[in-house]
Amino acid sequence: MNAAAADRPILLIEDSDADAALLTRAFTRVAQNAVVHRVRSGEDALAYVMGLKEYGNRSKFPEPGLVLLDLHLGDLGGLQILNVIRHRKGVARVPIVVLSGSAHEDAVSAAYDAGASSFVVKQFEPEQMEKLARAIVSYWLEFNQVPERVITK
Amino acid sequence: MSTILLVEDDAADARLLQRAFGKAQVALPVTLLNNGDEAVAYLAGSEPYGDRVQHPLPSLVILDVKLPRRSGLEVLEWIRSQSNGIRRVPVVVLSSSRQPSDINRAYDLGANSYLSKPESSEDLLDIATLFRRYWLEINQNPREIL
Repeated sequence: MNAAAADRPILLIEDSDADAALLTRAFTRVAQNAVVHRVRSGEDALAYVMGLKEYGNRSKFPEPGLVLLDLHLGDLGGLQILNVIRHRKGVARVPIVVLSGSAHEDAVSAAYDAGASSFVVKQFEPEQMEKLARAIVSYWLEFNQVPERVITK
Repeated sequence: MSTILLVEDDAADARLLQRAFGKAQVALPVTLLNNGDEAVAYLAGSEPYGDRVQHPLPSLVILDVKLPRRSGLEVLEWIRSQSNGIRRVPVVVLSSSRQPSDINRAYDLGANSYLSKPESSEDLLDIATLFRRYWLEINQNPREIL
């Protein structure tokens, strides 16, 4: 068990309330200690990872150990957020798993080019979603090694 | 048929990992290379790796850090600087080092993931099973490698 990552929350960037509810339920069911912070917009996602506005309170909003990013966001597109995070000193290294409704070849390539750690297709059946969440938690929070602190001050 | 490119200079480690992949029913063949220069030659399709039927591009690269001739991190840097689709291949760094500086450097250079080399054979089987389940079943790998 990689305590460094497992102790940190999952940041879920998802604009659909229904998808966010499904995802949050799945992740908290498979990892009972997992804390999922959900933000709705690209703007809030960037504020969270950079610790701006209310997210500067790191005891309430700790640095994420994993980012789950919906590719199709309303304001800033998912790819744009990926690009910004990957070029921002101090937060660039956090693992980012892109979630998408489909696996169109161009979208997959573009996501890797923008710096996605991984690309997975969302499942809409709760049981399938839980299975997916279990694999993501097991890989990224239990086995994968992350830098000790995402943000260097 | 694609392959998993395993770049590992320690023959015993490589053998154990290949055996674990077999036990974990990893369906893709593993191509083992033992130094960084060979890994770059393979990916670039330089001789003797020019024939892509015999030496297909990998769906996944597993890189040890400490390699002779060219280190794993130098190979990673080379992969990410390519202008063709090779730059997108998922790279998992597998290292015995748990030093934050080594982990950070790997991510800075574009590693998708960093795993510590397991210490027991049970842990090795867990890692192999996880690899199969995550990188070969759940993850969407880029298809435009060429």
